[in-house]
Amino acid sequence: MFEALLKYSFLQNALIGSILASIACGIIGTLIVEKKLVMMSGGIAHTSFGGVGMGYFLNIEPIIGALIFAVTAAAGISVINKKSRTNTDVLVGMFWSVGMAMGILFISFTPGYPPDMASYLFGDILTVSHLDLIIMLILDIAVMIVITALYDHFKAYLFDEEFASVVKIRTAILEYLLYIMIAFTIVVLIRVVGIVLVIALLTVPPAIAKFITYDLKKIILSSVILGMLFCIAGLWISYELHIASGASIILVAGLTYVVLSAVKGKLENRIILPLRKQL
Amino acid sequence: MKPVIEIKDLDVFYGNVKALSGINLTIDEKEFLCIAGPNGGGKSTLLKVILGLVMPSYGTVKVFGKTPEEVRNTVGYVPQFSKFDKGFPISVADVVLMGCLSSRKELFHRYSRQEREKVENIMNELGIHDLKHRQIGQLSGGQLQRVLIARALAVDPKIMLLDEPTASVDADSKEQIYKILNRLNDKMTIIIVTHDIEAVSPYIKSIAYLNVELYYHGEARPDSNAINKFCGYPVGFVAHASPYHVLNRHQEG
Ligand SMILES: Nc1ncnc2c1ncn2[C@@H]1O[C@H](COP(=O)(O)OP(=O)(O)OP(=O)(O)O)[C@@H](O)[C@H]1O
Ligand SMILES: [Mg+2]
Repeated sequence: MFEALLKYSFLQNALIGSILASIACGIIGTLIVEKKLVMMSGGIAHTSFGGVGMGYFLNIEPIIGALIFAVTAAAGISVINKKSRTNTDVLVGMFWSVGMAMGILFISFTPGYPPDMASYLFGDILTVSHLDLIIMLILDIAVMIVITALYDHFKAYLFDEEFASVVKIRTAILEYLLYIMIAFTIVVLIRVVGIVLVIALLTVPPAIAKFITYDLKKIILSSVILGMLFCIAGLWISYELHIASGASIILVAGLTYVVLSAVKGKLENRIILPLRKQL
Repeated sequence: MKPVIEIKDLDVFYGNVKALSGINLTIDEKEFLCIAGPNGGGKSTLLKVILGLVMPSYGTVKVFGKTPEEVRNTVGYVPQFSKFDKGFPISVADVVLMGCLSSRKELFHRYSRQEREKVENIMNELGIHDLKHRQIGQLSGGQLQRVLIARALAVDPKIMLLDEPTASVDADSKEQIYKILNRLNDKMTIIIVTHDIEAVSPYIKSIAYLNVELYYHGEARPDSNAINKFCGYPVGFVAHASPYHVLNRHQEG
């Protein structure tokens, strides 16, 4: 693969894409796991399918359409939830299916041969374009700046929203920011693992990171690194065995989690505890 | 003495449930007030209104002459039930540090050395310094309670609101917590909700009985037997039984 990597720019793009995606994925994945927003993130991801369809229909870049839909869904769920007291879960469910339905509607109205949606649903990192990489980079930078700038506030907000507002932290703003960053991150990840598979890539790295540390910052950093390992390993398998990259990345991640949690008890004393001390 | 909290004609409804009705209450500076009353009497609700976490349905609440939202970061709060996830990756020291957060400097906020020292001192005072590296879920109920008190103190509050802070604390620690509060009372106003009136009575300056309406607010009388009667009984019964209370209630309004 290394020779091929030097030779083919699509492989280089794929590798850079894996690394860029893992940064936002590790940060936001940790936040959604700790704030219990996993299902909401799934909802936002599926809603963005509507945007992909709209992109094809209006003949603009589908990923831009996905971004518009994802941000609208994130803001919509948050605003409607505050105004109408409808349960977030219920709203997520509605956005989830309505978004998918709109995607299918747009595609049926798109003139000509129906576009191949599989790469958006299941990801295809081998087709990541220059534009995708630039979008990933910009979104990564945005997420990193927001998180470092507001780290202490986000930590307080994630841990105990009520107390955060008692010390005058503007929790509503943090919530909007978080939701919008979730939308950004999901769009970044759609190119890598696809709408359907995105949730596992967001949740598995923090779940594994929590085996070894109780420190939020370290969980974020370990998740970023784990995400990179999964993506690169998945990419390699996908290239060698000619299977879809999304599936191979998710299977690597899922399998790693299963194996680690199975042997966790046995490794606890010999590896995890010393590691925890070192971290 | 200056009033720090002024509550006028306060009603609070949760949907159709009337939690508080016609509350008139003025709390002076350096007061040590105990709020007592039966379950569902609206004690927690009253504290939340003072914090601006629950909005009045009718009437006004002023803290230092301003709305509760404006002065939030001068109030320390120990909730009755913490809603946070015990598995959250945060250490005891970091939880207490949270009290030092306020929106004054928001971007690229880092805790200063003075703040860290202050937090160390508070943790020492409450006897939780040894636990400071523990993850928040790895504490006993009483230890967690002390951590939450420490966090409220880290705010540097002028008013402390404590909602049943000694509910899961052993007798010795209870004494200790009340003594600490007693000491803090030199610097700040303290309002504590508790069913444990007997234990707190040596330290408090006044007491309020709340059962949707405010039945009594005034001096805490040393006669703890009489006070004990309030808890568990409908407070109205006592108010009728003792003209003294009724008198006080009218003075208050
Ligand atoms: N979030 C809420 N939604 C609806 N009703 C509520 C809510 N919180 C409290 N109530 C109702 O308001 C009333 C007062 O509740 P509150 O929690 O203030 O009582 P309390 O005096 O603190 O009781 P306890 O001694 O059990 O803590 C109760 O009847 C309760 O059922
Ligand atoms: Mg209560």
